[in-house]
Amino acid sequence: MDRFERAQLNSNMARLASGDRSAFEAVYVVAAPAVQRLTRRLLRGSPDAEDVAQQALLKVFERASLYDPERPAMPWILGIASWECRTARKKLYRRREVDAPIEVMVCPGESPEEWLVAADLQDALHSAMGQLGPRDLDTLAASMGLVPRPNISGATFRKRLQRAMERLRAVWEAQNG
Amino acid sequence: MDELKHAARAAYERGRWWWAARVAVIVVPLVLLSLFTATQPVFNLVAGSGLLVATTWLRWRGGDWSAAAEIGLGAGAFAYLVPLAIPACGHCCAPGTACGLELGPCIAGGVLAGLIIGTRAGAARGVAFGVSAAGVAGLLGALTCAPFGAAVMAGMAGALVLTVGTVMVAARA
Repeated sequence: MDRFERAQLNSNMARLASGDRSAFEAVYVVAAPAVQRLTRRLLRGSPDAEDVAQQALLKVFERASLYDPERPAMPWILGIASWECRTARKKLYRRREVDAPIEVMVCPGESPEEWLVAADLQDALHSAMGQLGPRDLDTLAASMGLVPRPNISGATFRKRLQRAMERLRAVWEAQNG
Repeated sequence: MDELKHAARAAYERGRWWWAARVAVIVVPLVLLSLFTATQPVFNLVAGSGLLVATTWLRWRGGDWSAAAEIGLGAGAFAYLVPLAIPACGHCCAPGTACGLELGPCIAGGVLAGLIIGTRAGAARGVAFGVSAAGVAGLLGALTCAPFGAAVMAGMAGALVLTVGTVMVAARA
């Protein structure tokens, strides 16, 4: 979400909060996918994820009139959604249907939006790296110090790394634009 | 997907009604307080219910309508409080008895409320805003003017409407 889209959402959310129903559609098309993505991630593997996603979305719109236009809209929306998830996950945890309450999934001090962006990026990176060959993966892993460097000259390693990065960039651009 | 959107829309409207109805926190105590000076409590209850319904509906509609409810309540507080102060200052016309001198303070309350509404309406807001805000202020003022008789209440309402109209016309000129 770029700065312009954020400003648009803030403005539409402020209009909706003041009772302008014509802003509903514009808020819905942005809020619904974001809330559903966050909920599916936080309740991954739970059969209740869809229900909780819907409940969280309804809660966001139920509280829309309370939105403070001075605050950015997306963190406010995802804050409500993550609270709903937290409550749902606590229930599931008590019933032993999930392995951890939500507190261990989101780092302290990290907003739900930051967590969602980081999780999305991680998934996109995994997907892009899945398209690379084993030698490219080994080279990238060695450059990050995750595995020992292969027994080749520095110049060759740098060349391999450059090619691996080029291929990764090409895959990334093809997948994410 | 469409079903979810409809449900979200319904949730929004439900939340909006709850948000609008929170005005009861201000209106209900004012109506109850007015009952202490009321000679016809039924009138106060009916006018108070009307005020609650009107302000809730205006806030639910949002935008300028919501602002009209809030400004109407704020301005109407003068029309509401001035008549309450008449018995407090030891004047002869306690609620239920009219000696003719209570007309002045009620009209002054109406003029003051009208000035506030007219100024806030200015040239930017429409006639609907002025009428809605004046209606809310008038209903609020009527709660404490009613014990002094219909003529006093009409005087307050007339002063309110005339002042709002004059200020709004002047702002547009």
